Amino acid sequence: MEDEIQPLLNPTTASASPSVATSGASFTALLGLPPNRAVELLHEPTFPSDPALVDRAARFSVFAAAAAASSAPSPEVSPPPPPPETAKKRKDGASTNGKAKVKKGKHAEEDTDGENKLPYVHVRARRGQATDSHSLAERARREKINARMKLLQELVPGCSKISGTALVLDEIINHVQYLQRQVEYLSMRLAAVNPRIDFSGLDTFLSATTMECGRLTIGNAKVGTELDQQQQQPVWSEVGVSDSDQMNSTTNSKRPQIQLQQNQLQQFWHVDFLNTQNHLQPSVWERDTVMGSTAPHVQREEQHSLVGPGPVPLLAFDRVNPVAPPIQSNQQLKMEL
Amino acid sequence: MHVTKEFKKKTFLKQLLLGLHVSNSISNPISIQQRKNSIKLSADLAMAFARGRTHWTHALITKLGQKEENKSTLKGILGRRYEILMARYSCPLLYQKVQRRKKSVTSYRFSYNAQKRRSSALKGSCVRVSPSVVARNLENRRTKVLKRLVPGGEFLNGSSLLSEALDYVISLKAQVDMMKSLWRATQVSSSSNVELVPSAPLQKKDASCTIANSEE
Repeated sequence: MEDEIQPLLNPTTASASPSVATSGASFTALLGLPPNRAVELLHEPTFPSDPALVDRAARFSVFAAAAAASSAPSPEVSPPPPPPETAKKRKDGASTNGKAKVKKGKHAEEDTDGENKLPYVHVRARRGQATDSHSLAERARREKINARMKLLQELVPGCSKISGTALVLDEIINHVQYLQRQVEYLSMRLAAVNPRIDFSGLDTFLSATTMECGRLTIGNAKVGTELDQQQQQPVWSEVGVSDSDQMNSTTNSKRPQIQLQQNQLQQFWHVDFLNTQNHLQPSVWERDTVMGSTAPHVQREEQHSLVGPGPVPLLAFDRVNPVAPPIQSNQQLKMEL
Repeated sequence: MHVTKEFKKKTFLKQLLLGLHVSNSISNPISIQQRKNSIKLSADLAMAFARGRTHWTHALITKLGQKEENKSTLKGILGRRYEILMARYSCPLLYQKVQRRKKSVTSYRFSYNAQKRRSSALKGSCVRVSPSVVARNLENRRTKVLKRLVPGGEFLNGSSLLSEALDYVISLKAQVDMMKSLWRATQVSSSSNVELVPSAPLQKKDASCTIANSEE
């Protein structure tokens, strides 16, 4: 799982270095914010260097040089374990304050050799603020928290106008509770709709997308003995066909209606799904040999589909009934969800 | 972003269906409550699995894995990782620590409220609490609530809690979207199916168009 996510995340980060999925990078990947904007949120406006690295630096800036490297990676979000980093804080001219004007803001420098080099964070004390390590650490920590709060504010609708941590937290809590309740509600609705929780139509859809199959049989992994009554509706299968331009099968009077349904379904599904599908040949759709003669075969398919997750497809691919013209019989097929 | 979100959606759906298959094959759930629970379980697990390695995913999976009836679904979805995760996270000490911490938190709140009540009773008027203290108390209370909401949040502090909450909110949103589209898809297919069978082609066309319009 992590291996798959990692290469996907990496190209989306702004920085050249295949950095640790820093919170900035991973969240922008998730949020879809352009990385620049997220970086702006996360940091002082005045720093020069690479955004992702500065983010990393800011996060680690509270850690003392020595001890922190081990603790740093533990709460981290994403797949590639962060390269061992230490952040060093340097008090700038704490002793010789006098007239020396201290620069505002922090900036980070980076060793440009690669991700394994240790970036040093030079934290400068702002004008008129205490420069001992405790307050610096506290300030860095507070800024971290504020940065996260800003991101959360962006995420939760209606939160950007509110000022003040407690109220924003309130909104966030409400939002989380609302989402959780929505999940419950939706699962209740889904449960109410289906007499059986199988969504076998979606199986074809999924296997179509994931397996790049040429031919497949629609496996009814349904519990119980109602196999006779259940047949697949090819509409489901055709959701997998993107753009519906490859209907090279026998042109039937039934086809246009199926195509219409497919267009509807295309609207309903997220466009993401359809864009990623491989073009399947519609002549592929075969009705599963549900009728009594092949009951044992279906049973076997069931077991196949239930055996293992992961690489094992939900359906068994089979060459049964190569060309039975199921298209005319599609009309009688009813989908049982 | 587009790629990752999309990838997650696919994985999510796949895992969801897997989970549903497994949970359905095991027992024939009779009541709607049971069905809802199994759906919700599969959805949560699929989401946690699709998200990958974060604090809250681990915590969620562990929490769900504690109960006996969920274990089969877990096994189905997680596959070989199930054993690894269970071995790593099943130490009872951790769980006890959670319980103990919860108790201390509630007792702290209770004592704080009692203290306030006592002091107000003494003075007879409103308690003079400085605004910063008030703000801090509010914030602390809210943080505690958030810790309860986000799975695995009790052990996190401050910024890490916030980042986990952020991640959790994102995944919850994705989960809700997925389930909504699933729901809509079932609606469409069932309704269009009803239209499809008996009537003439023209009528079918109208029906499907109206369905499309109403949905959008």
